Amino acid sequence: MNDERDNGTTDRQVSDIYRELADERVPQRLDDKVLRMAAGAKTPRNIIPGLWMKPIAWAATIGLSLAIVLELTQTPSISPDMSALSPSMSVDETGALAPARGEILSETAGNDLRDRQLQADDTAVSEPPPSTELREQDPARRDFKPKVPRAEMPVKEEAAAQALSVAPEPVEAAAAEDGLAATDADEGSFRRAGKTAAVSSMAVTAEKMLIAEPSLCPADVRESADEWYGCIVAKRATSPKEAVDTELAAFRKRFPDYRVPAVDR
Amino acid sequence: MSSIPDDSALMLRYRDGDVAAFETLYRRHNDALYRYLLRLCRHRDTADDLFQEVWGKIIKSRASYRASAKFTTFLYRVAHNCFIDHLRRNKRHTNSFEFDDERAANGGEQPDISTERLLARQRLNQALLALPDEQRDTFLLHEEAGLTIEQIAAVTGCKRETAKSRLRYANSKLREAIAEPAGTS
Repeated sequence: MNDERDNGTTDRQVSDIYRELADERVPQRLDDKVLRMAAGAKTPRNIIPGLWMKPIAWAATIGLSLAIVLELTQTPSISPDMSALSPSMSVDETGALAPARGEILSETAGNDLRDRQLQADDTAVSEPPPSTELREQDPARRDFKPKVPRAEMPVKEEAAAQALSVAPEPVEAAAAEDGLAATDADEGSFRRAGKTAAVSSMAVTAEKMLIAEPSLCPADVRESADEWYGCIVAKRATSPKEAVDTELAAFRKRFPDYRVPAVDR
Repeated sequence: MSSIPDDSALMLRYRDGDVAAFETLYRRHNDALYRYLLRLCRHRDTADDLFQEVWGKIIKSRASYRASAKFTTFLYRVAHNCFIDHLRRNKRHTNSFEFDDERAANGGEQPDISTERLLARQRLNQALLALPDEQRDTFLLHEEAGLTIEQIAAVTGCKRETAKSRLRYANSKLREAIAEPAGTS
């Protein structure tokens, strides 16, 4: 029959006698039962599970992937470099990054955050500081709060007004388009004005201006014309010319009658 | 020869709904399988039940059948597993057997057979039924199903050398039984 039959595993005599012995046949009733069972068995419709399981599995995988991608693209996110911004960032850096933040935040999420920011500002004196999450989601607020302690607010607001008055042309133009004068950058009036998105963005702009152009001289020095001018003269040696000119312009606006030396005119 | 469909092709045709293909397949293997079960479990009623159970499983498994292995190997693996399950269910079974081939004892309807041959059959039958289950299983798979040592090992789930050893032991015992003088049995 095969190799095993020739390699000693088969005993010819035993096999022959067994063949003579084993001649039983299946009873007819068993044949009938089995054949009836075979004929009665229904052909399953989904014979091979793999035939329909694979396409279904692929479709489910692709659908799930698309859903995840859509979810990710529609979820507002903050780019990692935004978290690297520090309160001491320079004017140009902050100004350059501002549009990027506006692009990142969706309009809905941005308005919602601004409303929450304004609500928080209303009670900022008596309430604890806003949560870390809020500060992280709103870069303007994050930049603003550490720079301006509540105790110095009156002085800073005045500086903001001065800064707005000497701000570059594009900023003033933007303020004019919004129908608001730069000198209206009073936070209280803004909050009472209805907390609209335009007002909110204007408030944020004013805050940025406040941060963007810090005065060279301390507030107490700026109370006196002589001391302030002396401070400006002293800063000429160490500070950039643009900053000194800005400070001098603010000084002239504050003290228009002050007689400056002929060298500075 | 090439016009005769092989077992796997018949099974695949039956899977697709061709009942006639199953009948052809059944007629090829029914008697050998029946003898295998009859001598393996040594009880005619049990053999009948196991026979139906085996074919029932073959019928049920047609949907998942793959022609990756020889159909005979598949069929006798199912039969072997059914027998093992039967042994587990009825542990007392191995201590007694009811099947006794009357034809082996009296020669049946064959008047011309010699007395010596008749006695040899009788002794072989008794020796076969007295073999350990594993050796009897191996011998029957070899004789009735025509399986090779490798196929027997695959069906019974043992190593090739183990299957070969079992078959040799079985043949040796049966040969000794046949060769015994008539007066000793």
